[in-house]
Amino acid sequence: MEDQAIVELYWQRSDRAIAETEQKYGRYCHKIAWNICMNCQDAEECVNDTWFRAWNLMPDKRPAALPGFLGGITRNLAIDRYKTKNRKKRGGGETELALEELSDCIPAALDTERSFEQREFQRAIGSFVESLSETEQQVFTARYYFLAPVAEIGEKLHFSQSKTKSMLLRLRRRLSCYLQEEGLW
Amino acid sequence: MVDAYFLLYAMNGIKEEQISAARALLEGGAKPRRFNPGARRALLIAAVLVGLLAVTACSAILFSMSQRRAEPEERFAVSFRSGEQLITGQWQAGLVLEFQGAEECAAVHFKPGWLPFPVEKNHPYPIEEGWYTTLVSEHVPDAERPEDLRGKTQAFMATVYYAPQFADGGALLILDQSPGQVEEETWGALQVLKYHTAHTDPESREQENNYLILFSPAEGWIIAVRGRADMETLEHIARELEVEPTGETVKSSDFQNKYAFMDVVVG
Repeated sequence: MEDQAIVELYWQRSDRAIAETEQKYGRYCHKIAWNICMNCQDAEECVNDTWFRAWNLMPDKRPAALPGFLGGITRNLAIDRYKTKNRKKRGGGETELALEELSDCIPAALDTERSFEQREFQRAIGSFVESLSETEQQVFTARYYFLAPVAEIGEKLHFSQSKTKSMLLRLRRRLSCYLQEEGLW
Repeated sequence: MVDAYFLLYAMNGIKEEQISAARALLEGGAKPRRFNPGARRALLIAAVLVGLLAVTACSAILFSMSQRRAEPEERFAVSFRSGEQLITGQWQAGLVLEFQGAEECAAVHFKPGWLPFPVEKNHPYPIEEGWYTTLVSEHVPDAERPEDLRGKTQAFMATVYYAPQFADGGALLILDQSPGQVEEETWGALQVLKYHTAHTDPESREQENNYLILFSPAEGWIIAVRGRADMETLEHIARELEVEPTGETVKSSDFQNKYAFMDVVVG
């Protein structure tokens, strides 16, 4: 079923909306949640919560890109869940690794109340990624949006792990510079 | 306080187009690419230079290098391994390169884009295919050289060093060879030293070598390209090196010795 037709089902409050969404995007959302939570049950619950959240948001929202809309919801739910469960313990997994990597991009003592809000960071990151080459965009987004393992990204691009890691390191440095230039820290 | 979660959430600012492209990559794979070999080389060099300039443009200059002739009475506590044996001693030096700056920097490796002679298969210790921290060619270009020296002297070698090793009063040295005039150049973001050395080895053989030192004041790495090859050849090798971080960090404390030497070895 076409995405616009699925969105229309939500707007009509049709029972088929969630079933059609699950059939088309269940695996995609599960993969996003799994990369973050690394736990089947948590991933499953995040996906189910995504359908529930989408049901509550449409209407009023009419997303232009359904996979991005659903993936964003799943991603936020999964990060929330991961953060809550891992507040006191340090586990392995891609989320922990990505968090460690990203911690290089901002000073440890940066105060959120000082001069910016989350949406400013989102805008800056969106612009930063747009400024990258096509391959860099794919590598950065695969790693820090989808939290895909470095090995998987490298394999897809026919890059060595070392080359992928190096590219990510350079991109984080550039991001750090970019955030500074934007006056965000 | 901002933590890395904050940035992780902020990745939701990535535009739908890029998310879709990354999703397509993860679900499928990269589109096959074709390179024009000539264009690829040009792009490679440009990418290195642009990358270096970009890093410098937004980074503070974290390291500095200075060079001087050693005083005649000056001695340096140098140790090195020869086979299984650790050799230590107080050594005289010809040229002293001193560094100041941070106590750590990103480790790098390099990939040669052009080589005039084959490199040694069992000596360069490649980290991964095509990427090196040490590269050696023992090809001897001079057919007139004594037979017992053939294969024993490096036509060229390239080695990575790091400024943090020398930051605490140490130095990168030329021990046995006294250089002629040291030329200083700037290649984009890199500081470059070029000089020629001549000396007589213990078996009374005249040895002449060229040295080209690449130094990144922004990133703290040093790559010494040197050997019997002429300076034009070394410069061609150096200009076509692709340098990139390995993802590891090098710290002053990683090094037992705050001195290192870059002499081209005979025998």
